Amino acid sequence: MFVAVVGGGPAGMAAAVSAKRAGADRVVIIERAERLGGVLPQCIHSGFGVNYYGEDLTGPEFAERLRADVKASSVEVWLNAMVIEARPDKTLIISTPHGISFVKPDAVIFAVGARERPRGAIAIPGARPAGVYTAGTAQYMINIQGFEVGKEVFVLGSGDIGLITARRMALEGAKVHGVAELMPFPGGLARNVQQCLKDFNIPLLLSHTVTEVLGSERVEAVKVAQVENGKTVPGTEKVFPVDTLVLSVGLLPEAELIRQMGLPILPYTGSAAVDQFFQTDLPGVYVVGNGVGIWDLVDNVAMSASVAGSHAVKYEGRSSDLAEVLPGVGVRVVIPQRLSLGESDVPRIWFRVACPIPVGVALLTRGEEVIARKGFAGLKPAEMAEFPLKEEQYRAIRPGDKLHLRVQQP
Amino acid sequence: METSSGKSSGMGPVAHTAVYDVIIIGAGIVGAAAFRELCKYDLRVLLLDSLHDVGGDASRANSAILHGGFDPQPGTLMSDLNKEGVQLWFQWTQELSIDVEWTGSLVLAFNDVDIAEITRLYHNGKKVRVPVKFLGRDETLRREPVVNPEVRASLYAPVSGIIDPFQAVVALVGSGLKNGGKLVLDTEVTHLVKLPDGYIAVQTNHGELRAKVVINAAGLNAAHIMRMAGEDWFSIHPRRGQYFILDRNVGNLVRHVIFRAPTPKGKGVLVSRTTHGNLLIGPTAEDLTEPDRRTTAEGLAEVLQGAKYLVPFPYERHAIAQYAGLRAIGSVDDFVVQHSKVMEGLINAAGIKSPGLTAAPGIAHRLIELVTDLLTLEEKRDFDPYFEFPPILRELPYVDRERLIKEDPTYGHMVCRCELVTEGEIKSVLRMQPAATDLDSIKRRVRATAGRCQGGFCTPRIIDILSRELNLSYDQVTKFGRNSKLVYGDNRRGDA
Repeated sequence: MFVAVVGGGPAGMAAAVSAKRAGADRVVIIERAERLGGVLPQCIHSGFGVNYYGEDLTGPEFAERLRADVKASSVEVWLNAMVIEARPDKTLIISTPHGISFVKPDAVIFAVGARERPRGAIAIPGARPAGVYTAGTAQYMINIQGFEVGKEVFVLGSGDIGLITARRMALEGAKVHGVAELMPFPGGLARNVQQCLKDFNIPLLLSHTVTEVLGSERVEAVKVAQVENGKTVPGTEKVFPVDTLVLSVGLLPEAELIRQMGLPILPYTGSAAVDQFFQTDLPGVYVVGNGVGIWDLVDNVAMSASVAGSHAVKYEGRSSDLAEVLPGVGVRVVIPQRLSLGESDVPRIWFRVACPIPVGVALLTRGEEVIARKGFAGLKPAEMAEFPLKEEQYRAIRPGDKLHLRVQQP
Repeated sequence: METSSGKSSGMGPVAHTAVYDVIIIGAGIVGAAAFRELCKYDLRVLLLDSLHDVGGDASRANSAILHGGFDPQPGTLMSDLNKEGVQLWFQWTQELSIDVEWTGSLVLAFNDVDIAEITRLYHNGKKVRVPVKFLGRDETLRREPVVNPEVRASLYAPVSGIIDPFQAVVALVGSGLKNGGKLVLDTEVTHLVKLPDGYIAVQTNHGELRAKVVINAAGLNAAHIMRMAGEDWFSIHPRRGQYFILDRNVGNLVRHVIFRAPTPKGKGVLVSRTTHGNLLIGPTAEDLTEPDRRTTAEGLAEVLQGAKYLVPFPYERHAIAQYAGLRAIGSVDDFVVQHSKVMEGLINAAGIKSPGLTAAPGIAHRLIELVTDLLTLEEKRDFDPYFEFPPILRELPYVDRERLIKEDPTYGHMVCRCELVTEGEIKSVLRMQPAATDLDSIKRRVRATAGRCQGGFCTPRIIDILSRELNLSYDQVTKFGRNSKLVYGDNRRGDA
C-alpha cells in the first residue's frame, strides 16, 4: 500500500504518520516548501495542541512534535517538491530541484491547506501602492524572515490571524491604529480579542471596513467607514495615516489539484465533498485539514488528517451506501458532506454557524423529519462545533438521504 | 553629460554617448514599437522613460485587445493604422514570441439603437475591408451560449483577439536592445531646445541628451512634451478605465471578446479572456482633469453591472484584482502622428487612445516614414527580427522542464504557486534585457504574484531573490521603483 500525502503541514504530517501506523508499506509526504510544518513555524504564539497533545504549545513546538512523529515512523519526506498536476487516475506530477517526477500511489491524501483571500477578492478601491499584505504574509515576513514590515499599521478583518498579527506588529514596535471588522461581531476567538487587542489597547471597530487605499508608492493612508446593511454609512469615514494595511479577510482551501482530479468544488467550503473518513467521491482520494474546509484549531486539522490516514490504509474503495449532509438555515459549513453508512463507528459531524447564536438548537433533518437535535449555547462563527450523532440516529439514516443541518433560535 | 542616475539597460553604464540620431520619449507600446523598427536601421537610437520599467502607463493597464478595425471612422488615421496594426501583429507576435490569440470578437445588440449601431459598424468594416459578419440571435447564442439571452443580433469580427500587452512591450524593447538600441529609465524630460547645429537638446532630470530626431511617444504626457517645443494647439486629458481580473478557473466563460454596441463615450464594458486564461471585465470611461489611477467603489460597481448585462455571471465571487488605467484623449478626435508644426526634428505620436495597442505597429511604420523625411535610413545587414523570452516552464513539455532543471536546479524550485513560476525563471528575467528589477517588473515578465493569491505566498520569497541576486538591502527592494519599498528592513540585522 503506497500512500502519497500532498502537503507537509500539520494535516499532512498527521495523515502520513497515521497511515504509516496503520500499516502502509510506503508513505511519502510531498512538500513544496523547504521545510515541514506548513504555516505552523510562523505561528509563534501559543494555543496549539490542547486537544491533540493535551498541552498548550506554540506553532513551532506543535510542528516539532509532529516532525518527530514523522521521523520516528519512517515516512519519506520530499521537500521543495510541488505537485504541478494531479490526474484522476491518481498520477501526480511533481516538480523538484532534481527534475520532474511521476508517482502513482494507491491512495492520495490532499493536505494542501488554504490560501488567504487577497485585497482583490474583496475589491477594496483606491491606489495600488506597496504595503498591502495579507496577515499570513506579514506574519511570515516578521517571524520567519525577520523583516520590519510596517511602522504604522491598520488591520482589516478580526479573524484570529488578523488579531494575532496586530499584536505581533505591536510587539515589533509598530503602531497599530486599529482593527476593522465588517461584521457586528469579532471574527476570531474571544480569547484572542482580549489577549491581542484589549491587552494592547488596539481599538476594534466593529461594523467598519476599509473603503479606500491611498498612496502612490507606499501606502500613505487608509479610509475606514462604518457599514450598515452591507453599505457604508455616509459621513462616518475616517482617515488613518498608516504605511501598511494588513488583511485578514478569510481563507480559501487551496483546491486547484482537487479540481484537476475532476472533483466538483462545493461553493460553501471551496473544496470537494468528503465523507466522515475525509474520502472524496473518488475512491482512494482524500482531502484533509484546511484543504477540505477552514477549521478553527490546528488540533482539528491534525485530527481530521489522522482519520483519513488510517482509513486510506484499512479500507479499499468506499461503501456505495451514502447519505448527503447539507448546510441548512443558520449554518455556513458542514463537514463531512457525505456519510458512509453501515460503518462500525458513528461519524462525527462538525459545523460552523453563520452568525453568533447565544442559545439555540441544532437540528439534523430529512425533509420535514427531525433525525437528531441538540441544544447549544454560545455558538460563534469563529468556532467549529461538533454535532453529537447517536448510534441509533446514525443507523436510521438511509442510503440516498439528503440531510440538512440547521440552527434554530428560540 | 550626466545621466548616470538614470538606469540604463542594454549597455553598461548609461549612455556612453549623449548624442543620438533618434531619441524616443516614452517606452509604452508606441515608443517600444518605434524603437524596435528604428533599430532595423543604422542609427543610434535611445528609448527614454520616466518610469522604473518599460511598459508605460496606458500600455500596461488596458483591455489587452487587438481590435478588428471596424470601429474607427473610415478615412481616419485611427482606421488605417488599426487595420495595418492587425496585419503587423500577425507577423510580429510570431517573430517576437508574444502571446496572442485570435479569438474573434462579438459586438452585441440588445435594442434598435444597438442594431443601428452594429449595422453602421458592419458597413464601416466592409468599407475598410476588414472581415465582419452580421449574426442573428440564434447564431450569436450558438457561438456564445452564455450571453444575455435578450441579445437580438451581433457583429462578428473573426480577425481580432487578445494579446499580452506587457510581454509585447518587453519583447519590442528587447528586440531593439538586441539590435543595438539603448534604453534609459527613471529619467524625466524637462525641456526641449532646438540647437543652432540642428540637433534637439533633450534636457532631463539626469542631464542633457542630444538627437537629430526626437519622437514624442509620451502617452498621457505627449501634449506636455509638445508644449516644451512651443506647440500648444493640442491638449490631452485622461480618461480612466477601471477593470476586474478574475480567477483562471472562470477564464473560459467566454470564447470571444464580448462588447456591447458602442456609445459616443466609447466601446463600453467588455468581457474577455486574457492570454493567461484569466477573465477580464471593464473598462469604465471616466473623463478626468488630472491623472488619477485609483479605482473607485462606483467605478467597480459600474464594471460589474456592465459585464453582467452582457454575460450574466457572479463575477465578484471570482475576483482576484482590480486596476485602473488612463487613456490619453486628445483634443483632436484622431491619432496625431506627424511632424511638429513648430520644432523641426520633433515628431509627435499623440492622442493615442484606443485602439492604440492594436495600431501601435502601424503607428511605428508611420513614424519611420516621418523619420525618413529627416534622416537617410540604411538597413542594418545583421538585423535580427527574432526575440525570445527566457523559458516559461509551465508552457514546456515535461521532458524539456526536466532538462532545464538538470542544468539549473532552481528551475525545479517553485516560487509562485498559483502561476507555477520557478526561482530559475525569476532569475532569468533579472538577467534578460530589458531586465526586471522589482516585484512588478517580474510580474509582467513571468507572472509571479499575478495569480489567485496575488503574491501572498511568493512576495516574501521574491524579496529574498531580488535582494540576493541584485545585491540590494531588504529596504531597497521595491514593488515598482522609487519609494515603493516592500519592507523597512531587517529587524534582526543588529543581532547579526
